[in-house]
Amino acid sequence: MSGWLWRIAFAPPLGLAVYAAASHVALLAGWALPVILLPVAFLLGCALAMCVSPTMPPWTRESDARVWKVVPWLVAVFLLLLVGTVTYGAVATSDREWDGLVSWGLRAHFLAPPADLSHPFFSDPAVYAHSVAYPLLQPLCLGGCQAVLGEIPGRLFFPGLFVAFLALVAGVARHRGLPRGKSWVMVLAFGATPMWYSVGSGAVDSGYAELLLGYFLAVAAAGLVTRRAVLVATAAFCLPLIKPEGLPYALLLGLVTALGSDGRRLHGAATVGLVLATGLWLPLQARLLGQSSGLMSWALPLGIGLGLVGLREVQLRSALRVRTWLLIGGGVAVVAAVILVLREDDGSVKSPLLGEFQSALVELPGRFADLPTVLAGYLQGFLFVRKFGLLFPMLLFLLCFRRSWTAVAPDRQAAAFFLGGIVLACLAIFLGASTDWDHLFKSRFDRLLLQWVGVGWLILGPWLGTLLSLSPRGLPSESIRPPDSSRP
Amino acid sequence: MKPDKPHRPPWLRLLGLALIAHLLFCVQRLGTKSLPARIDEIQEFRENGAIRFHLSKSPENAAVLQMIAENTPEECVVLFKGEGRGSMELAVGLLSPRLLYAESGAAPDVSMIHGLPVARAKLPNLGEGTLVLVGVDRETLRLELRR
Repeated sequence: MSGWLWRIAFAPPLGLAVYAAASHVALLAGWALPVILLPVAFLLGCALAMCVSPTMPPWTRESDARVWKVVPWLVAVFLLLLVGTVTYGAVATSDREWDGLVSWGLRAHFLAPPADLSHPFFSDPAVYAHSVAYPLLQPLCLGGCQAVLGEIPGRLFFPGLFVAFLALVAGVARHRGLPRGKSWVMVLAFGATPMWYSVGSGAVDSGYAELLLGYFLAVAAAGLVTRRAVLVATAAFCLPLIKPEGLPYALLLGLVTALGSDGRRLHGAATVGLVLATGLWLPLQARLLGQSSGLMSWALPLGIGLGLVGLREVQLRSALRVRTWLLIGGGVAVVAAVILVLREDDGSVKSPLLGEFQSALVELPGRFADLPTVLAGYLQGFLFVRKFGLLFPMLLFLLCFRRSWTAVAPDRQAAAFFLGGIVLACLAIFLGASTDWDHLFKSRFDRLLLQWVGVGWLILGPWLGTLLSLSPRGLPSESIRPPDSSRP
Repeated sequence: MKPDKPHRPPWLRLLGLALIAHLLFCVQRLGTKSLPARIDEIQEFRENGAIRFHLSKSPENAAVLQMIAENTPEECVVLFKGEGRGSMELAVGLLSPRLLYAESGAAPDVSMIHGLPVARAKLPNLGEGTLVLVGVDRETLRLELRR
């Protein structure tokens, strides 16, 4: 496939972002969503992405070993089987998993065009509406597909998104200079992660939002790895619109780009995306909660933007020691700001991931008594081979060789993003409202980790290239194109 | 002169073994576990229907919801009260597109809410009246009539 066509791999994120912006603006304005909004906005975004993306570099020369001529075909056969399985699972019946039925699928039904938020499901508090104030991007996408294709065929959204995810991983692999065969192996290693296609919560056809959130986390990592500001901005914009934990993840992205060593381009993109997302989502969320859209709904996005820009400017002008303290202080301040600002009058907080932290802080001393159980639960989650294969053991292994981990410069930010996200996921469990550790580690921690699987494989990619190459030196940078040569 | 042998540090070799193990494990799992399990699940869903599939461990709750689904139009409002978590969450999804409306917010003689009829039915031993779905606790659902 030509380099121009390969740009398709990076087009869907912008397509979804344009639809997200258009649909959220329409809902805020009180307009009914037209049926054609999804296809038109998505195609418009994709076309825009095709125009602004630079042409992909040619494939790096493959080694002459015969095996690399067969590998793409073998992988393609398996991926076809994989996508076929989840497609069958998606369109054979309606939702078969709890949250897919109760939360995501139900809201998609009531948001399917032509619809607006005046429907009693969203506007009347006497109507039972589960997680009504949750972000709306997935229900909007699913409802949009169902309005165009029909209720069951509209569920093709899920396998379609999975294919886009595979294409993104392949696109990043190629962009980083992995030869064709090794790129296919990387896509296989990611796509074959058992939790994507196992029966249960979090799977592609389960109707959960882990796939969409994981996709945009990978888009963010792809932006960091390939230095593409448009991908970083798109991810920062879409993450808060998908799930409550998307907001802290987007803040983390802003923090990582603020404290990175590059110029202002990526950081500016993350900040703009995050400010626009919170500017659209917080007033909408206030309406769904039956509250007036107060000053805070508008002041918070501005505060986040100014905070992140200020952090970046101070960081650029400071010595190393000051930067370290900025890293710690900035992280704490961002999390604390979100907790405080999102707090309700009764002390509860809108964002489940962050909100539970507050009540948990009071019980913190007691929780340390459970620390051995919690640590064992974390370890069990990372080593859950039946769900993640050997991804996390491989990443932990690389962590032990820290010099190797950070040897390739553009991966530092992606690695920091990944590690920060894993820390947030662990904190969400330890500081969450519930102390039913068994339940938390069985049904929640695995889904939090699943969200980071794509990012994990994007980080591992360069080492895979080295590992599978016949290079005489075996260093991570050997088979990988230097970062700056791919800069647009 | 011999060409240089490819050299990889030991940790990279271990990583290579882990990658091969990952690929082999994951690829075999699709065919031996996930695909058969998915086919079984879909077959069970098709045989039993959505309500009995989701409430297979609670046939009493399934019977309650099945009764509502079979005796009320899809476009209607069903009153509810009691525990809202657990089984009631599933009831909202399984009875969709019917709206579940808090009984405390409905006037005694109400027949229409939001332009939709309020669900009525005739129950054995109880007679005819407006249906109220009661969440007794997180696991148990019950039907009552409001006359």
